Amino acid sequence: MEKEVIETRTARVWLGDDGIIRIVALPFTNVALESIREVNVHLKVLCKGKKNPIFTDIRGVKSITREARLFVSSEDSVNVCSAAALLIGSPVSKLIGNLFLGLNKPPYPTKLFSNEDEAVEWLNGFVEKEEF
Amino acid sequence: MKDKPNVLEDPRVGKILDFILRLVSGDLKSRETLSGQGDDLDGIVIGLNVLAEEISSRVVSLTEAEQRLDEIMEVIIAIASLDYTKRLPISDKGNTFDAIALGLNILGEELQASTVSKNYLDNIIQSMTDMLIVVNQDTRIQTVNQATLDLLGYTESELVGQPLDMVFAQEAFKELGIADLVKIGFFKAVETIYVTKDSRIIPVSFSGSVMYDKSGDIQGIVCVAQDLTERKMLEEEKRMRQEKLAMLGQLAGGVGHELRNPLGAIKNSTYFLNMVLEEPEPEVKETLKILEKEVATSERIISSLLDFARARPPLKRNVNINNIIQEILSCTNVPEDIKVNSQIAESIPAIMADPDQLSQVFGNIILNAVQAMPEGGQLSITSRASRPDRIAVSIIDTGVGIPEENLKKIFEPLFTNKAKGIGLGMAITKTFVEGHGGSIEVQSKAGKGSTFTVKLPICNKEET
Repeated sequence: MEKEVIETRTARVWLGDDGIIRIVALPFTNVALESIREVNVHLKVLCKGKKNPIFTDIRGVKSITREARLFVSSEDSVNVCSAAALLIGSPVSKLIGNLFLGLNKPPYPTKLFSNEDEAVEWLNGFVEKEEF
Repeated sequence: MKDKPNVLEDPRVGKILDFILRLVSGDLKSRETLSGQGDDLDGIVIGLNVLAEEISSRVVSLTEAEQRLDEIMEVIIAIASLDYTKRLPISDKGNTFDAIALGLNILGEELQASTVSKNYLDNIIQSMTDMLIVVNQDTRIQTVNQATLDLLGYTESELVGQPLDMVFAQEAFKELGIADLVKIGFFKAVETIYVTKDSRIIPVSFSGSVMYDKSGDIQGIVCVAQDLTERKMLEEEKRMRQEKLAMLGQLAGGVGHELRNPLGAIKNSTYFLNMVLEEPEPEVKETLKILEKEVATSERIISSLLDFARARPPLKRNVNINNIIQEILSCTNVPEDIKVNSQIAESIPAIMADPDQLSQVFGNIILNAVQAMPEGGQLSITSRASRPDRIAVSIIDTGVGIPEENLKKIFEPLFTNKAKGIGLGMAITKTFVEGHGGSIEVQSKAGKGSTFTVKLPICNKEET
């Protein structure tokens, strides 16, 4: 089944076959509140009222505003996210990841990874298995 | 067989070596052009160009590093000087300098946000009208607000660092028991005494609360004190007034009783003389009339004195205030040049009240209103339900009014500006109204008339 990839101003978003949401920040992205809200709208549609584990590649993020960081830890975000894995690479993305963990303290399990496979393997533990 | 050409003799080798030297010395923007022969040497040039490109994208040149360090230092200095507004540019390279720049930008944002809330909190503390003192765990003053400085007369530097007991009057601090405060955790509204810089006493209502840090250790104590000076003055005035009233009451009662007998004798004598003198001379007749009138006046004064002295609690029944007012108007001798305008609300609810006392209340006020208009005027009476649980009756005249300096005194016993009477009427009126749980107010201006408003509660139960 062809997955539907949503393109916003700052990221590409889709729901993987494994039940994990993927968000990949576009290169040289300055993340502001509006762009986070835009992504969140699509997340709500993809999640269909459930909470999903979310893999986010933030290696392309150049900066993030305070309001955007606060929003990611807010009620709106909590309602769609069961756990978050952040893929970091550059010193900037590493700083952003650590700041988010240390300053904003997201209310869902969050971990930083430099390897995508490890990140996905960790998130698999949060995927809700369908019961038959 | 031909000899292979010696590669090292190829002039391009020299150029390649120069290129390598340029790269090593930091000129990462340098590139070498290809000869187009597509041989090994061209392959090396391609490799070196790619290497230069890769290194250039990842490594910051010395010049750029110095420039970025300068910018970073500027922002650090600004933050240290409490300027949290400066921001650094972030390049697309996402390298270490960019990470530091981003980190400093975020630090500036967070400090700015916390300063805004700190300023807001500071504003709240300084705007308080009560005195606020915060002490540390050794009860040394750390923070004071403006109200404290204004009321106690100190400067901030004179108080900060000093022991808390310096603002208390002698013994008051000991009696307060700070050790108990620390044990219990708080004190609420304890009356104590502060002392100002110039040794004046200020009675205060003191509340204290222990502050704890995140580990549960005592960080300090927050002390809030409300100045009770004005309240104490009012209490003292009230106490003196009540003492005065009590003394007057006793005096009035005594005088009233003592005068009743002789007055009774005079009244009887006048009555006897009227009986025995069949046809008295006009002068004698006139004199006897004056005697009767003055005896009646004296009796009224004595009744006022006794009412004031006795002031019994009201005996409440279901009464219609409108009926009481109509009755008083019909009994009061209102001159023809005074127009009576009665706007009594028919829907006004009945109230539980003592009809005799209320008759005296409204009788006194209406009589005063009539007497205030010797040259005629208008007397208006309105009644309405002022709240779901209260009615209000207003009596308005267009008479001589009450001068401002007398307004506060008109309800005091023995205050009068009339030639006749001893000034107990309004004091009794106020006592009767307050005895019903009501209130009486007056608004007046000299020459413009007066408005008396009596408010009475509507109760449900009849008392016997």
